[in-house]
Amino acid sequence: MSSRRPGAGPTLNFKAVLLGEGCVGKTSLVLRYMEDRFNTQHLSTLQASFVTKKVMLPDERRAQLNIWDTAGQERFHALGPIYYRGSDGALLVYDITDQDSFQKVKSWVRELKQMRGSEIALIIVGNKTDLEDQRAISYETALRYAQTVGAHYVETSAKENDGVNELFELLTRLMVEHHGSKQQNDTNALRLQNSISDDGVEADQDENGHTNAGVQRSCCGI
Amino acid sequence: MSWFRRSSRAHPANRPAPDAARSVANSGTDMSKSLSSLDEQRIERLEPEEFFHDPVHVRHYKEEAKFLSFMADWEIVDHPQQENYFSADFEEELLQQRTHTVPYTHTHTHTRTHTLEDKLAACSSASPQPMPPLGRKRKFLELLFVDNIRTGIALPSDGNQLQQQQQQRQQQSTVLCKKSKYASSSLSSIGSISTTTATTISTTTATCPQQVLKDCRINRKQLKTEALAGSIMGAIGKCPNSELTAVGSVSLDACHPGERNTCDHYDIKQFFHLDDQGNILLNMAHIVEGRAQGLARQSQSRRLYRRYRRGCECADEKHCDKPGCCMPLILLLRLLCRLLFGHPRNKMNIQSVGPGDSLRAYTLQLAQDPSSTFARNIENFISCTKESREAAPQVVMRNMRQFMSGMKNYLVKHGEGKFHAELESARARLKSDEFLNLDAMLETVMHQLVVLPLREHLYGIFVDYYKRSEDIQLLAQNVRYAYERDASDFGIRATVTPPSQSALRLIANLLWRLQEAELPLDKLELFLCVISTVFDATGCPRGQQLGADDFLPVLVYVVAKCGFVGAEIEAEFMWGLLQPTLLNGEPGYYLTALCSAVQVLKTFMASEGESGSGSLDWRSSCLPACSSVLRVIIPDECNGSLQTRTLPVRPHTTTREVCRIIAHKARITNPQDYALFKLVDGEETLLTDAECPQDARLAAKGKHCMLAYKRIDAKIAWPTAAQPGSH
Repeated sequence: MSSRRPGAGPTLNFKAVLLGEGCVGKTSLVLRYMEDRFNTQHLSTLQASFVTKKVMLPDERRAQLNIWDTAGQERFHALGPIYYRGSDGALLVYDITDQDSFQKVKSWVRELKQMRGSEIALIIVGNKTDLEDQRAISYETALRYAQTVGAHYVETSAKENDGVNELFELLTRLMVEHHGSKQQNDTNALRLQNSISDDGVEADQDENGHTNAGVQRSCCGI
Repeated sequence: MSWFRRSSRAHPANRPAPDAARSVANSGTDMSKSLSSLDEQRIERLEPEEFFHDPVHVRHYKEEAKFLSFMADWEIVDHPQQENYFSADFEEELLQQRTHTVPYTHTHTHTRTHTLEDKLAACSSASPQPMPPLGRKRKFLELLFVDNIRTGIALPSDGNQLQQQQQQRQQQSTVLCKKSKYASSSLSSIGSISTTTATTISTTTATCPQQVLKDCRINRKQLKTEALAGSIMGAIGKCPNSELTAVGSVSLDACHPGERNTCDHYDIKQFFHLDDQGNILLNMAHIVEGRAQGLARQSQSRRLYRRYRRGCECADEKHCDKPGCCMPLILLLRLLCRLLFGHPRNKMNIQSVGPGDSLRAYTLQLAQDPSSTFARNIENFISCTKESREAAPQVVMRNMRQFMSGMKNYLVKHGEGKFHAELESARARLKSDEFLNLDAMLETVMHQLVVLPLREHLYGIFVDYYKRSEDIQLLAQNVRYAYERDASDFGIRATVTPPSQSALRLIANLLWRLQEAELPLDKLELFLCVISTVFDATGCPRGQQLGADDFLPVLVYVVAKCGFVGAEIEAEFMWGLLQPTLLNGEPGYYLTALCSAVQVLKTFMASEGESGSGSLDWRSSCLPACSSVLRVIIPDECNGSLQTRTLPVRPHTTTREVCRIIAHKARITNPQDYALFKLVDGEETLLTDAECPQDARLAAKGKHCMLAYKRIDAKIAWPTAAQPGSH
């Protein structure tokens, strides 16, 4: 159990899924991210469907991100659950010039909330900010929506490499926090003390604090 | 089942922090710890709900308890005389305490689950219900749970107490063994038990009182559901299950995919204290090990990849040159490869060939030795699995997976025979920058010992199961149909070149080898080779642009063109038997993709009939205003998706008729609650019975107008009109 590894233990392993309609730029986002700090260590680093990346966390721990791309076409929609089960985070990508793709994100959010509850870190990503003049979803609308569903909102441009690294950094951070609070819960369960509930509440508050900060920061960054 | 915990009087001061406990035990100085918790005077009963408050904790606790009761019936061996004893969680110490000599518990975890219901129903004569002497026994079992929850805290021992306990256990175990269904094997152990101080953790079926039996029965069903949900298709409730394939079960099953999936993982990891990658940490002194492992894995996978590529390319060349005699050539090639590089099975995952090999050889030898606990357990497991009537391959595989993980852990923690000595000598031969990936080595050994003998049995179950659910037939039918279609019918975009004929031949050949391969890791190796061949064959200049949007249709195409009807079985086979930790990474992703492709193929004919070919975007519902077909959107409220159906209509077909047709086609049982709506700019207007939907569309004049068939009360936020440039 968690108590077995103190502090800087082995690499943390995270799974994140990319969801979103076809052609909103899921693949480009990943490619852009991988391209920047490119390292060939996996048999299919060349492919964009599944990528994995090692990152160093601020606290010296190492984490491995496994990013699962999904097919966005409607006929594949029903297959969603087999991709996102067991995932720690989800990037819900839409195209800011495309109202439909935003609706699709909403339907993914509903589904994820229903299936995974709060176990999964959600980030809504408005991609293609380079097409600002064709924008169909205003920043505020998306942000408000994200806040109502407890998700983060980030805007990016995969084409101009704007906000991509920040996006994945945020994702990593959120998943680490999730992981941390989960571990905290586990540890509490093991302590067999009556102070469990106190600790748990504290941890939750802490996380919320971070969460808000996260939204703020990502907004300003763009 | 009642629950226990140690009262606060139980030497709180003596409980070392888990870390401290570990380090102490690591140094091998303090082996004399025991459980003062065995002092039953100090136990208070508490319901877990009461104790933990938090339902999540309760669930975790119960899961663990369940799993422990499962794993509790493991055979225990003599404690190896070994100085540098690694891993120091309490249960091990607990076992050390009691296992000075050969103790024996016969374990039929899987059998228990399988036969429990029968036993309950018939109170089978072979396993009479246990009576009073077992009361104490049961408590002991539960104590064990409590201690597990306590994260490995062990207390200094009191020799007398311990001996008393052991005597009790000895008596109990004698009783237990008599009750075992597998009397023959159990009886053999009684002899040894009576002469030694023995330990029995538990044989739950026989020992647990009625109520526990009841609990277990619930568990059995639950376990089955979990095993099913844990399979790839389980996540979308598409796992063929004769009991669950009722229409409604799809959404039901899909409710907790994440939970189910992690469950297995969680259990094993928790019980065996594996690290994040599912490996058993060998030696705490080698702290660099954790890091080295990552690097070693990389280099290993790089090596493997190079080998795949080599194999593929060679095969490719030969194939193209002389299609007629390619098989012998490939065989020759493989033989050559084997000579040059060693058989992949031997080579795979072993970091340092020398030391690893000797240990591996010893493990195999141990498995041949009928007197070893290790061999007996394996033999029992195999015979029990073969005898069992379990019809769901997912359940069988789950049992196999747990058994293999359990046996690996058993070897590493408790060793047997000269295992630890061999391990030490292997370690001594390691260079300073090397380490022994014991976990991976044992994994291949266990595959050979467990999967190989059960392979045919498992395949038999698979085929029966999928035949009964008609999945094979459905897939075969669709594959035959899809085989004739063009790439565009699969939704492959014009920018992506589908694999050429020669590439398909090569892939088909690899798939054939995959099906012939016996071991999950061999299959996986070939499967990843298939995938990279597919990527290479798609003609994207650097292979770079192929995201899932494009890859999945290509994979569907490949499965159809190669007639890979066994795809689902092969995927589930690997998924069920490989280490859960592998499934989070690349193998997991591509196995998932393969199953997705299968799922898409299964509905290939149906979807083509309904939504037209190729174009899979619902926005393409902008048909010419007047046509002989009418495209209607049907929101699926279960999963929040939109389906399109295309209906043949005459110019004056009324809304009423359209509704009737759709209700029939979509098998809607309460058509009175549904109606047809016109959607303009996301705004819906109810169409009356007599209205003509075709006219309604015409009336929208240039505006993006769609027809939707939905529940009248359903509140749906429609996508507004598509913008031409947005795609």
